[in-house]
Amino acid sequence: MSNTSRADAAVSPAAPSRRAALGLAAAGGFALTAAGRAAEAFAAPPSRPLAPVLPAVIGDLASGLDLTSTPAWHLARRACPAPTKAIADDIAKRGRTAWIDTQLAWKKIDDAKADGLVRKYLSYATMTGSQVNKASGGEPWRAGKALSISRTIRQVFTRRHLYESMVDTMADHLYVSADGKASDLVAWFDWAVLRKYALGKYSSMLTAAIRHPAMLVYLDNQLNSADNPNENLGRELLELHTVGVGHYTEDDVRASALMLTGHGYDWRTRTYSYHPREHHVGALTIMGFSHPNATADDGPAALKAYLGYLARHRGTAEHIARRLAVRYVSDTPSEELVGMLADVYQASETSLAAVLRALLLSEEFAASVGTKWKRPQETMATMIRLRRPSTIKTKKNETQRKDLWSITGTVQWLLYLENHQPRMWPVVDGYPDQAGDWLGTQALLSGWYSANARTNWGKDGQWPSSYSSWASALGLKKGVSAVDAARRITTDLTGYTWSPEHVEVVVARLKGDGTGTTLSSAQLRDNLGAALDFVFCSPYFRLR
Amino acid sequence: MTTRLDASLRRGEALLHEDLITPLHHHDEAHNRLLATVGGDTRVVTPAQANDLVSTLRPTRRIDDPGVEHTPDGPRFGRRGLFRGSLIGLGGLLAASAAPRYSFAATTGGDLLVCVFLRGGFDGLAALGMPGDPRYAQLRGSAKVVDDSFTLSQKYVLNPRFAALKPLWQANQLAVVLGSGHPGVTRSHFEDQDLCERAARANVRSGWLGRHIQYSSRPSGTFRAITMGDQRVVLSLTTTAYQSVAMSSVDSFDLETAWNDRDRLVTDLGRLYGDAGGVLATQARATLDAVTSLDTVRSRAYTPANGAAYPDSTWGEGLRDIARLAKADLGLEVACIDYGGWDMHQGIGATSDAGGQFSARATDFARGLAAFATDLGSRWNSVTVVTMSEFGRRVEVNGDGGTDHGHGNVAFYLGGGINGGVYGDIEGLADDQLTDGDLPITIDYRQALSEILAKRLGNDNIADVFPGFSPGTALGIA
Repeated sequence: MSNTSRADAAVSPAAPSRRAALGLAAAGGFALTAAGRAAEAFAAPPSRPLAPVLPAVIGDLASGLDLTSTPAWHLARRACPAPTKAIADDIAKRGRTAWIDTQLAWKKIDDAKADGLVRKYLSYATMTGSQVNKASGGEPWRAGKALSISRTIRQVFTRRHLYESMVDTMADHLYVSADGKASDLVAWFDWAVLRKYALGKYSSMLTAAIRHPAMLVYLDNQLNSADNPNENLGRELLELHTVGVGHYTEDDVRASALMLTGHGYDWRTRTYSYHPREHHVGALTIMGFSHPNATADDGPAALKAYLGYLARHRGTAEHIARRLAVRYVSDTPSEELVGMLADVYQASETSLAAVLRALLLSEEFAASVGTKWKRPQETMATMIRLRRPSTIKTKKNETQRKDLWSITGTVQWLLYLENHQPRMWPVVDGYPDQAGDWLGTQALLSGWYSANARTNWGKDGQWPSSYSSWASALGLKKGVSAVDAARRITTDLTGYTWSPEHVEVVVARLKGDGTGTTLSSAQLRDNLGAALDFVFCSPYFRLR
Repeated sequence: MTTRLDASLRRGEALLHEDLITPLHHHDEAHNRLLATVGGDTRVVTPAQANDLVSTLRPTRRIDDPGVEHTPDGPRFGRRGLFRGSLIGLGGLLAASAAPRYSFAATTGGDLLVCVFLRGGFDGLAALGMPGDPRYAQLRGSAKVVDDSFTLSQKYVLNPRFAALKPLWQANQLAVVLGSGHPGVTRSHFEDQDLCERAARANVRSGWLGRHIQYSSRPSGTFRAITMGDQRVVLSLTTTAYQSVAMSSVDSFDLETAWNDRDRLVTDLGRLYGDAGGVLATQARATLDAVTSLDTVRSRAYTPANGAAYPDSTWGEGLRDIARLAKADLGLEVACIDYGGWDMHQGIGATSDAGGQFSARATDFARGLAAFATDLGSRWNSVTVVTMSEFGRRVEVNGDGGTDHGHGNVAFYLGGGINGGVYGDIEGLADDQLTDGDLPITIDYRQALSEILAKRLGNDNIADVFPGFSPGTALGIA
């Protein structure tokens, strides 16, 4: 699906100027950064073989730790919603490039378990607005909650790691909150737009998103008419969804809003509808795009052309490239990487898969070990996945029609405390994705709180209730040496080689008051939770 | 309760060059934007771009710039790195001087300052009635205050929903400041909250209370300053020199562990994160120190003293937690707490309607503060509470029974050391007495605050806390 992009990138002559990369190319005679780096022509071929061992020491977040890892683990931590050793082993076995290509061909990966669980317990998340209204007995807002809950289920059970990761990444980009104005429509948006195009063409995704009732309602476009323009969607389309700030003027914003007039929502059928009488008629120019827009019936065609123009704009290419680079590479990706990925985006006709492939094979990605901080959904899903749940079991009233929050036990509550319930960021720009946003005192503490909840809380309210014990999930049996057990819950769970003195802390926690070099069943029963809690609280676990 | 702002805007570093960067207000504050006019074109820019623009055109760096690294040999300029764009959230941890000193001050000698930010734009004229003004009733419509049960003076009455504050008023411990505000407000939630909390123009990237903490000479401690009721430190308390603590509540700010493992986990995590270094070390240390200190506080069930009854609300719980911390003698000097939801563009509601939007909040607000004062008992003598809001609202009620964004406001100052009374005057509500239909700002809010700083908090470094502001004739409020 994307094999051409790498070669294209490698020979691309289009080295954007630094100013263009910063998105203010047309802003006048000043350079926006004082960084002083020359805008070198780059030809960063992502095909060069990667070094087998990653740099031993990474400076940024945790400069005091020797973050030794393997390329396979690094890829697993970045590309998967819930990375585990099993996934890292699979990557190592197949080879990274082959694994990436397999993951990009996501439709060929059987994901029956995750799909089945969502269909069985949270079918609202798979319906249209009118379907869910009917099925829920007039409580269609339940669809948004169902979607939120379904995310953890998919993150835990999926085998389409990269695909599910991209669904969430693009959800933060074309953001519609599951709480609020479009709560009854957002699940529909999820499967009809995000899931459909997460590894497809961004141009298709954008067109589908902007004409979807969820987006139209979330950003007030159903109120946007020629007589009474509402700029909300017209502005966010430029700022958040496509070119990003700096490329357009306020006049462009107004014209963008007028272009969107008439595209609304039919509350009776709960579907998209176009209202010609509300559409602004007359030529519109937005940045480098013009359309005669001569009659009221021209609205849909004009919008389609406009969205096509926007999707292919260099600013959009850089915006998407930066979004993915910040998600998968580092909080501060280089302009060179962003420029290279933007080239791939343009050369591949806006293919998200092509950009992602080039990104994951880039040297900057390989060199970025330990520079990202996991967000709560990732630590949560990983802790659950490590427990190797086989399914979901719920009590009688724990259904999407009744007590839907309890379908995943305490998960939503814990994610609420951690400020990261899926799709419930209250602002239009999606969840932030840089370490500083997740390192406040209370944020750190609530993350540690969840670690304790997953390791030490009893079965009550836990999901899935079919948990095996931690010891059996991790294959630890009585008689295992404490050192071996410590290694298996440090390096094997985090993918980083722990320093001997840090392993020693875990050994001490496993032993508890006991002496001797092996662990008894009582020690495993009584001490494993405290040892795992420490591991899950640690920076080794929380660094992506 | 906090009014949510677009995080990317909140985190902006250098937004106060109003001549270069113009805020664009949207009805939904999440959509506020920054505009830069360059080469004749006006465009929306990100905070980072705004900062870059400002620092390109105004390269002068100040010492409190997060880009300044403090070394034993003095400040070193030019380090802008990893957490650029999120410095406020992290309190400027990159500065070497960020590590707090951990000596505890059992008593501080000065007042505890509680700074209440009424987010959303408090409607001073829904709180204050002017029954004698010929235009008052007409302009305020259904939101007028005519009940005279809480009379402040011949000219002014307070909305009876604030009745719980009457004992403090009668004890001469409640000051009502009229026409209060920052003279530079723009009617934008985002920009004006930043302006009020930063209380500085130019290239200053810290909040006024952060600078107060930084420039007052007392020993430092983990609990000198806290943000209560929020996961993140409010801008007012931001400084590059001190990492303050933010907590949702006293009870939630704990490290939950398996039985009997808590102290050991604190030790183990402290060591591991300490070894990790950098931001992680600083952040974990602040968190764990706070946890340890609060453990003692939490271990005793808290019963408010003197029969104080806090309202059952987020606000009530927040004040209750502040009282709890104050009594724990952890060295608390400043507590910031937000009270949001004042952005009432429609349906302020009638004073007579207890469930009305404004009535309900006003009742909760007053009951909370009254309980706080009662609970603190003799400690109230060394506590000062100040309120602020980003702007006042328009005088005339709009077609939806609400008010839109305006200018001058009413601010409350309460405490044992406050000289109660009405400060300032609203001349009248005729068109020529208003500024574009708004109450004019006649008392710079920094005037009252600088008196509090000097008289109640023992901080004479007003020029450092409010750079560019010269105090005028004292109001005599403290």
